[in-house]
Amino acid sequence: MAAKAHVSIDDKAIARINLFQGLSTKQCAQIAAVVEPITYEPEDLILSEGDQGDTMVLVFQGQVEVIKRVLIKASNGISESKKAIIRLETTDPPPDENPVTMPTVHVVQLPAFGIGEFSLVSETAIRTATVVAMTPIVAGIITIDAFNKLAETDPTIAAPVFREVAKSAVQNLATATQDISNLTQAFFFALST
Amino acid sequence: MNLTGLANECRFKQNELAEHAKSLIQTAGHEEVRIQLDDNAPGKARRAWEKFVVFYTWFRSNELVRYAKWAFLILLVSTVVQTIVEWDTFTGSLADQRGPEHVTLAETLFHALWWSVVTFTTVGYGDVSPVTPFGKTLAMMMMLVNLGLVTVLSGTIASLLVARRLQGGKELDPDKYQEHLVICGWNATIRDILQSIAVDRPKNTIVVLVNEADEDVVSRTVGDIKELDITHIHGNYTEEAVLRGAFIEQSRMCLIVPDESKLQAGDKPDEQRTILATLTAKGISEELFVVAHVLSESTVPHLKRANANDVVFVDPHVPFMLANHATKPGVPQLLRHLVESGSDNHGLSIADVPEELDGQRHELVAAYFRATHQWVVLGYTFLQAGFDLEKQMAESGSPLIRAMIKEQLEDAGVKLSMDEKIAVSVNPADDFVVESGYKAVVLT
Repeated sequence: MAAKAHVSIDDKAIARINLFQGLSTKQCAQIAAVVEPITYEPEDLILSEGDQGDTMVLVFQGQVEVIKRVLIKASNGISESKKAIIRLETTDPPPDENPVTMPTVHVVQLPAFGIGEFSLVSETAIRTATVVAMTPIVAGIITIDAFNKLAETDPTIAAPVFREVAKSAVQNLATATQDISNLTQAFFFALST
Repeated sequence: MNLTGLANECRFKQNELAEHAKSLIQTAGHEEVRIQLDDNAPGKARRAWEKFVVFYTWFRSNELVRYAKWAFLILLVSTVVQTIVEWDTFTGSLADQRGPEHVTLAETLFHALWWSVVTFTTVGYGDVSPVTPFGKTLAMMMMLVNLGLVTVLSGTIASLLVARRLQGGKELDPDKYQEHLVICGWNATIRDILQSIAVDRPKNTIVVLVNEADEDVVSRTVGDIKELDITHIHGNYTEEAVLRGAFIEQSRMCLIVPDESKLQAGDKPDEQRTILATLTAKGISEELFVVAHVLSESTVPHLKRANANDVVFVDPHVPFMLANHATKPGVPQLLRHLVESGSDNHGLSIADVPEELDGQRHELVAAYFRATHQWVVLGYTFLQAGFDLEKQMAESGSPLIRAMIKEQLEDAGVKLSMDEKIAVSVNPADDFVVESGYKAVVLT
């Protein structure tokens, strides 16, 4: 744990988070003030798919794996299985340990990143995936209430953040639309042969 | 009965069979030991013994043998009795024919046997005959008994010959019948089929016809096709023994056609037999290539299930033609005229649409062909592109879903691509756009 102490949650750390790009140093400091620091050990569950969440997790250091539940056909019928979709890794600073398991999926590197960002726009947002720590994680939690209060006092904080959330939502929607189109094609394919 | 019960019963049956097999092996073993004591070449002795048993069983059961035994017994009794009763007659006749020095017991007995056989076979040379009343009485009795016996005997011989022919009595040479063609069933198309084969394969192709048509009908129908080496096996082709007799397991292909060999005029061939024959042939060898030729569409799924390699559903146009003869007179005649490309040069053809007309409407293209060639455009054919799901999905959507689709479809045995095929658009609307690569179907 001692090694992680050098990552302090300040305005500089906040500015590295992808969602908070475009905020002034002062605004970042305001956000840093409401973030509650937290650490995770490897294999700790950070977010759980299907849970309702009103918090967003800001990962400052470490690597996480995003996992989704899928139905697969096994020899004994249909069963539920978990599949890794992607790994996210910080680069500033990079993880101080190697991940517990080698990645089988693409590893996306960002200076620092936020997960569960949809909670910022909806209190009833459902976690769309499970996130598990792969290395020791230095993170912070920001609640929707705290963020809303900041937005009330300084409306200019909200706009850039919401734009980033909207971007990510649009991205997700586009992928989902493509998925539906692929599945529809596959469905007709399966029916027609 | 539930499945567990059934499984248990199967196991019980299996055990029973195993015990039976064991007991058989033990008995056989004992026999071998016994023969081994008698003879130092057990294999040879045993084979000889087995041959004898087979022969003896046949000997005991054969009708012909039974009657022949009676005939032989009567001949023997007649010879001995006549020699005793008519001693003077036979010795006298012998002395006349051959000289007194030949009158011995052996020659007299042989002379009596001669008389008996001549009488028995109703030949009756009359060179010698009984003269005493007792001898004549005995001769009369023998002749009367013989009358019945000879009738039965000749009848048996005749029926054996017929039975042998019905069983397709030919013993084919297994070395000759390899990579041959087996055709099960008999109908009017057989000749055409064989003729097409004869044209395609000039070398001496071996064909075995298995059906229940008369030998002379078969030889009259296909005997003149000299290019093929045709053998006819008379038998029911749904029976395994008959098919094995045609060495079907060594054949290149087995063609099963609707069988009309045992039908009365007006009856329809029994398609069930085609299914049965397919099952039997596939049962003999799964690798066998079976092509079944059927008349009704309802048989097709059954044959697919019976694992037929190919099913030829004959001429789906026939019912259409027949129906149209009644409802739309002229249509079948027109079609026949077009298909049989008559001397007046009218017929169906495919024409390339000039490049300049690509992307134009159908009415324009039709007018062009009408004006330049006096042709009527009936429609267009074009190559419908194949479809590849994987290519179509490419990198779109989430990799997770793509991988899942691929995995699940492949597991379910669904092919991820469709081959390209030729599509036809018949009598399109005037504003149908003729794309590049379309070909016109024209009535010339």
